[in-house]
Amino acid sequence: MKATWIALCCCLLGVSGHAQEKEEFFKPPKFQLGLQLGISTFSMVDKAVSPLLYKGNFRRVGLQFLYTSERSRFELNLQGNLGSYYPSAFPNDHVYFKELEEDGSVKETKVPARGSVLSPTVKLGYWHTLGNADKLQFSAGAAITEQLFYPQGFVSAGLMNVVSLSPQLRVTYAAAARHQFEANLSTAVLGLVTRPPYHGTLTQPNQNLEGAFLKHNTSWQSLNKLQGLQAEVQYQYRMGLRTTAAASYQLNWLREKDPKPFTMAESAYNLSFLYLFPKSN
Amino acid sequence: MKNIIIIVGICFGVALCSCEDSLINEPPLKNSPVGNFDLLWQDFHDYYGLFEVKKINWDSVYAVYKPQVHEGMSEAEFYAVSTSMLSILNDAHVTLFPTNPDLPRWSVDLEDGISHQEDYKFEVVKENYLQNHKQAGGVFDWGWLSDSIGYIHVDHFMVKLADVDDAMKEIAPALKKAKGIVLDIRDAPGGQDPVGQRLAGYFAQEKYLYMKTRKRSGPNPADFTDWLNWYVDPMGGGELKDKPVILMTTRFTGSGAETFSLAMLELPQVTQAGDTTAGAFSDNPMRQLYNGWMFSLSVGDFRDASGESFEGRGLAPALLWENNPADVKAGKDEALEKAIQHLAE
Repeated sequence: MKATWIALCCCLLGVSGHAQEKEEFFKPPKFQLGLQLGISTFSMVDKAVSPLLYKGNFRRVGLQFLYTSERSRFELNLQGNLGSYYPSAFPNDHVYFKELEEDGSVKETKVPARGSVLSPTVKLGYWHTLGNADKLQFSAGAAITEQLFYPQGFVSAGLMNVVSLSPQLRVTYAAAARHQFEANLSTAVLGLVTRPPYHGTLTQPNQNLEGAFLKHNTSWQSLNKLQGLQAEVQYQYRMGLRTTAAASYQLNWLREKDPKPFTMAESAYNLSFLYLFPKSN
Repeated sequence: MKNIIIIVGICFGVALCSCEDSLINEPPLKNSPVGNFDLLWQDFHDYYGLFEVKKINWDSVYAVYKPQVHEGMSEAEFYAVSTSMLSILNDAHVTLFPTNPDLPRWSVDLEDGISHQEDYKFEVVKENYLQNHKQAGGVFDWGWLSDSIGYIHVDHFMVKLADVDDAMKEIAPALKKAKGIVLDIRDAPGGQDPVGQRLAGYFAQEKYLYMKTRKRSGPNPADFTDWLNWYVDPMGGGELKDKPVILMTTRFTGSGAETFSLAMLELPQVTQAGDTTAGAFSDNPMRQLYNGWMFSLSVGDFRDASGESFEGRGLAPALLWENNPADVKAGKDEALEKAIQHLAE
C-alpha cells in the first residue's frame, strides 16, 4: 500500500499543467476547499481492558476548508475514520459459538476476535506568519481538535473522546512555482478527556450509553495526565489554475493516564486535492 | 527540480519508517499458563464486584488453584483449572471465551458452550395464543390473548430510550381497556438497565426507588463507588398504571431483564410468574488475557430497593409455573394459559 502512495506522488511530480497559471491566483488572500483521502495504521495499549498491544488501521475521508491571508491561515478539517483493530499477537484468532438446532444438531459459528472502530475528528486551527521571508516561512498558532475513538468488539480497547488545545508550529518552503513543502508540529497542552471509569461500564439511570459516557466521565486534563504529539510533513504540487494536490505523512501520538494508562500511536498517509475559489474582485 | 526530488524523497523516507511502533512501549507478553492464570486471578481481584455479596475469599481461591497451574500444561488443562476456579463465583455474567476451537465458551449456565431454552418459545405464543399481533420499537411484540387480556413481549433491552417511548406511545393507549396484562420476558437475555427503568415508568403511578448499585472503583476488593439510587418516574398517560400485570420470567430472563423485573416487582399490581430468573444483574465488561482468550466479569453490586442482592440466585416467582419442554414443542404454553386464567378471574 505504501508503494502505491509513493507511485501516486511520483506521478504528480511528473504531471505538468497545461494552463499558464496566473501567479496572483495563488497569492493571499485565498480560500481553498479540499478533499482528503488517506489510510493509517495504529498501535495502542489500553491497560484499562488488557495488557495486550492492539494494532489496527483506518480508511479516512476528510474535508478541508482553508483560508489564507497575508499573515494568517485558518483551517477547518473534518475527518471520518473507519477501521478495525486486533490484538497484535493474535491477528487471526476466532471466538467459537455453538447453537442447538431444531433437529438436535449443533451449529458452530466462528467470529473473528477483532473489533471495528469509528473515529470522527474535527480540527479548527489558526496560524500567524512570523517574519517576512519569501521562500521559507515560519508560522505559529493553535488548534482545537476533537477526536472520538469508538471501538466496537469483544474488547473495547481505547474508547475515548478528547477535545484538546494544542500550540502549532508550521514551516513552509516554497521550492518553486509549483512545488511547496510544509511541516507542522503540535503538542496538546490541555484536554477535555472522556474515558470509561475504572470499572469499565457506562450505564447511568435514565440515560442512553452515549450520553452517560460523555456526561459522567469527562474531565479537564493537562500535561501531567494527557500528552499528545502530532507531526506532519506535506508536499504540495500545484496542478493547474485552481487545483493543488498534496501528499502528507502524519504521526500522531497520544498518552492518557486515567483510570489506567492508554497509549496510542498512528502513522497516517494522506492525499488531498484542493480547489482554489476565485477571488471576489 | 533536483532539490525538489531530494526533499520529496526525504519526506517519504520519513513516512516509510512508520515509526508508530517505536512510540509504544509494548508490554511483556507473559503468554504462559502461569502468566495467564495470574492475570485472570488478578483481574478478578481488581475488578469483580461480588466477593462480599457471595462471601468469597479470593485469596483463598488463589491458594487452592495456583498450585494446579504449571508451565508446560496444555491449553485444555489450563481451561479446566480456570473454569473450575470461575465456577466458584456461580455467576452467569462470568463467561470465558477461548480462541481454541476445541474448547467451548464457558459459563455456569452453559452446557458444552450451548445455551438452549426448551421451556419457552415466543413462536408458540405468536402462533397459538396471540391475536392482533403487532410489533413496535424493534423489540416489542404485543396484542391480545383474549378480549380483555393484553400481552407485551420484550425480546431484549438493548435499544434506545426513545425506542421505548415510541413503542409505548402506541401500545399503552391500545391496551387501555385491558383487564390485565401479561408482560412476557421469558427469553429476554438483558440489555440496558435504563431501558427497563423507562419501560417500568409506563406502569407506575408515582416515582419510586427500585434499585441501588455500586461498582468497583479501585484494585482493593473494598473499593467501590458510592451507592447510586435508581428511581422509576411515571411515564405516558397512565393508561397501564392500575392494570394487574403478570410478569413472566424463566432462568433465561437475565441481566437488564432482571433489573427491569426489580423495577416492576416494586409495583403492587405486578405478580411474577413462571420460573426463577438467571441471577446475573451486574454490568459485565470484557477483558483479555495474554493468550488472546477473553472473559467477562461482574464489576457491580446491584441490589433491590431494600438492599437485598439476588446475584447468583435470581428472582423467584410468586407463582411457580414451569412449562414442560415436550408441551412447548407441541405448541402448548401451559404457563401462559395459567396467566390468562389468573388474570381473567
